Amino acid sequence: MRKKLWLIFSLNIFYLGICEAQSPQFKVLYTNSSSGIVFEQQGQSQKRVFPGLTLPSTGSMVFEAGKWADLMYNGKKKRLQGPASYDMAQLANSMKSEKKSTFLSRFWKFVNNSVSPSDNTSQLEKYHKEYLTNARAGISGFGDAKYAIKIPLYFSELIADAHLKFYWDSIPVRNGYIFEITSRETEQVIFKAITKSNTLSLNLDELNLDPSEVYEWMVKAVKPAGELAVSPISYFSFVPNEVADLIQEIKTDDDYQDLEDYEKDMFLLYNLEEEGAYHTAYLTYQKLINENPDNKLNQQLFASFLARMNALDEAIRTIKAGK
Amino acid sequence: MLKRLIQPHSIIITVLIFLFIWLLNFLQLNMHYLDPFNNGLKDYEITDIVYSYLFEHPSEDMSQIVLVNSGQPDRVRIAQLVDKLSAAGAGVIGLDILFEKRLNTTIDSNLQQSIKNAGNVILACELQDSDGMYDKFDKIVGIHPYFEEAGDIGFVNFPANGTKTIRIFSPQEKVNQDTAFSFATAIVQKFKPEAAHKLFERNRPVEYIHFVANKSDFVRYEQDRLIDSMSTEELRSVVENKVILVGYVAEDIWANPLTDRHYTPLNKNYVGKSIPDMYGVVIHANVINMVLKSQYIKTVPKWFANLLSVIFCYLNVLIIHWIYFNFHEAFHGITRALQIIEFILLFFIIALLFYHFRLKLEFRLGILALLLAYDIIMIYESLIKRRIPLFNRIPNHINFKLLTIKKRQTIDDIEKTNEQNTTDQ
Repeated sequence: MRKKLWLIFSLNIFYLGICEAQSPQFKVLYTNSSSGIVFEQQGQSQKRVFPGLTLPSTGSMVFEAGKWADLMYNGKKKRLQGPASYDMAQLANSMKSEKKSTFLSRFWKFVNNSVSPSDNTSQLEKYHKEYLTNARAGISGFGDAKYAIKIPLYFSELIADAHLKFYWDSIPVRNGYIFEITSRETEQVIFKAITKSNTLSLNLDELNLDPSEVYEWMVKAVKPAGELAVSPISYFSFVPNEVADLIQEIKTDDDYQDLEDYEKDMFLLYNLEEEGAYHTAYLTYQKLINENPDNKLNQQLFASFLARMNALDEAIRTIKAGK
Repeated sequence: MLKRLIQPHSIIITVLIFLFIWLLNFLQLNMHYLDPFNNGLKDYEITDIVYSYLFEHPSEDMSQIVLVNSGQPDRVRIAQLVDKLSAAGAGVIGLDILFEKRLNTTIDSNLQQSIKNAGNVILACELQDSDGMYDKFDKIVGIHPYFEEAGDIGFVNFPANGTKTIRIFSPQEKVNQDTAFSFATAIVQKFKPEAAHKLFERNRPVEYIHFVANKSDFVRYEQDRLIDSMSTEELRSVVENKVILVGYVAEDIWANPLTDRHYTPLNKNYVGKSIPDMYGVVIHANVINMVLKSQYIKTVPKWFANLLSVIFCYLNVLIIHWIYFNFHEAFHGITRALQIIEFILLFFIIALLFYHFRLKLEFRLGILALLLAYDIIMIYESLIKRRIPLFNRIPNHINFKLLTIKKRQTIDDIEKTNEQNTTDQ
């Protein structure tokens, strides 16, 4: 009998030894993006991270801002969020050291929690402060910290003018803003600049942009407290000829020809906006107002356009200037 | 010992308790409207707590199944998805989407061709019982014959009660003279026929689902991301020889929280109002996982559970009765404390059996008997025994010794009489 028990014991130790030797790996369960999350290992090229991928517990995972992934390791789940770089060995150790609760402890926790002070309404009234944060009836609004830097929409879609003065909302920052233009298809950074102010003048002709490609621009900054602030990504194509053709097409339209002169401007602006040539529409509005500063209708229409373009401060300034 | 265990009054009380339960059951009064708590408890099982609070999720590796969120299904994209998954060597592709009608000739033709080319696609359908007799189903609906001929089909119906909590699934059903397989069964048949064979060998009309994971425990993809941004080689590393389930399993917080979502035992709010907790496709995934791994839920036979309940009730009556006579003044407090301790212990044992052995012990009757024991003893002792003299004449104990002596004496008497008769003759 003793011999048998000893044999079982030895086999168990052997089995545990094997289990220990086969160190567990990370399994990627979900990522919120197909780009912006990479795995790096010394001496090897970067690897794109996608769901279902198995990663070793050496190397590191790098996340861009706004990107996250759910990982599983040793039966435990963890969500990793960017912008950050995670050392896999450290992560594995910390996840290993997280204690798994036992059945008995979970049972006791359940039985113990079953008799909570909030079980009936009168108790809830009595302890209401403790339970006040349990429920919230509402949603996150536009002031979401996700996009702490606001950008106007008229720097998106079809851009015809090479000389642009990009601008965005000013926020308290530590060192300045990072402005980036990337190719949507290749994900390569085309242009990157650091600026102290919330504007940047740029000549798009110098960037040798392909009219058939879509580019994205965004602004990042580090807040004084150390958190990263980002703007939403804005997509655009640099198509001077296409916009010129569009204007030509609008102007040769029979409907356009039949209109009064002041109506023609409105017709053109309406169609430019409809076709996504926001920046050209923006410049046309400005030209109209400069030509006729007393025209209240133009000012109101421009303010309304700016509001649609997510440039509320500029819209308010326009209305105030017209008064 | 026997004298202590077999007591006539305790037997009568036990019988009264079960008579009372039977009467309640027989009358079937729906008085839940008087008690909202009970209304919530109407659809509750102890094992729900085991699933929602005592299991750690995920309790096992679920990497054999990959979920793909179709969002609002677009037939063009689904055809592309099937092509891509098939090229990457997916084991089986389950489309948990009902293609009820034909919409566009070209698009439908492409989809049909993709399904045919893949050769391992299972499509969803529904069972319909037109006469409402529920003896057998007479129609398969939810899928247009045009698509039905392209791949295999499986019904996506689940038996559910008034509160629509899904706990069981039916592996197969008769549709007229044919047999229709459930969506999960059809997938397992294609993916691992020996596992499906095991399921059929059990020969059970329904099986309890062993829920081990929710959406976040699976490897999951957005349909667009999978089609547009994954190379076939990348995809192969993820889907090759795996079960791929395509259905509505939204990640977006703005997605409709009620589309194809159902209540399951994993819901932490096991009583009262709550939001459905699991997408339909995830329920299928749990069923498939259970069948593939042969992790079926074992149930204790009803007769054995009832016998246990009777023994449990009788032992409790004996103890409570004893407390009644020996600690009369503290009877109430001791009995209630005893009931609470026993209830927690019972709950612990039932939960432990389910957690470790997937053994489901239906002990509702025993728990009800335990709750009623105190009151019925009080009624019996202070009302029935006092009003009906017959019960007073019943002795507290059966004297087995005396019975044996009397029996011996009777035998001796007979033998003596026989001897006497022989002598006389």
